[in-house]
Amino acid sequence: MEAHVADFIHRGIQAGDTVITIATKERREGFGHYLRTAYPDVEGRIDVLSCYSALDADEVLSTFLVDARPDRSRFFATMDDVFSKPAREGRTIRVFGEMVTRLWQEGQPEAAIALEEFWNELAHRYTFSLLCAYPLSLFSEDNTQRFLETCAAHSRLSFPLHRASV
Amino acid sequence: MPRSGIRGLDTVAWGDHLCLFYKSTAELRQLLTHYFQTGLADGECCVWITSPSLTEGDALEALQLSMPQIRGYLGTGQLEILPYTQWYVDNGKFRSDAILASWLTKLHNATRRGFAGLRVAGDASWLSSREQRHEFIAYEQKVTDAVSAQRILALCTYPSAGWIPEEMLQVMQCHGSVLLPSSGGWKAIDIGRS
Repeated sequence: MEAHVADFIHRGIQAGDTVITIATKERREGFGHYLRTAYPDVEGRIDVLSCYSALDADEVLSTFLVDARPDRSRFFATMDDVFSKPAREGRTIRVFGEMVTRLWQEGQPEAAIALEEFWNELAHRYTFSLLCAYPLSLFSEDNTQRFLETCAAHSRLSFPLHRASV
Repeated sequence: MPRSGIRGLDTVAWGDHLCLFYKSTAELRQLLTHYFQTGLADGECCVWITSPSLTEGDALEALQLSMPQIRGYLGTGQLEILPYTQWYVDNGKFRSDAILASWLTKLHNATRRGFAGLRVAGDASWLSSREQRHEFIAYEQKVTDAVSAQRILALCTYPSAGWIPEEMLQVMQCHGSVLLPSSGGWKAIDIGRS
């Protein structure tokens, strides 16, 4: 999964896009390490690139969660802060987001699905591509409908070859 | 481009191999009835492979309710409704290559008779063991490869109950697109590979 996301980030950096990751600290460090190893051309640049922002998923979540549910107006206020500058500058924006996954991991499927819907609504306000990644272990036989709803909240699905885990 | 007959999805393309997971027999019945009604109205040859969740009799009854002339389509051979035991299983064996060849023969015959193309649907609720499912998923990949350049529209339906997410992903992977519920209808989502 890290390779897939790192490739997504790398392609954005190469294209001069604004790249935003909203992920756990561990994951952000993993991406950084993978990028430096797999793409030496970004070594030493990734942390200082003005077009790359690495935000903490839990910190960002805390700005708009109310009683463990995402609050629509707070979500948009937070995302306006993140998106408005690159959007004004006419930059292409690509985002890797892990906040929905965090809600799933915390046993909040309704909140996770609601947040997916907010992201899709945000796409009417800004032009961006959003990559989400989910460990398959989040979904069990008991919640296949949730799994299908999660798939349905996206415009494209991608799986690693020979192994279905994203 | 052929009309899909599926709510929310106006058109599809020849060569599409679609899959979906349904929640109930009622949902499946409604979806496939509209799917085949559209194909018949548009001059396509249609083949509906049924299974225990929606039998041959159920399928005919559902179509007849909205198309009283349905027996006429059966009579001319524009429509065939076959139970899975007559299509997928031969002497208790599932032979994927033979089934694939049969699909292409059906297409050849349909084209020769002047139909716009071949519209098919097959239901997978008869698959009972994990081994059968794996074998069927491998067959589905062959179908994707075989029909992509043909005037065939294939829709594979799977009951969502009893399938684990990992198997669902495998099913999605071997199709070009998956249909997922969206705003009271369905939307097609492309499947990519990383």
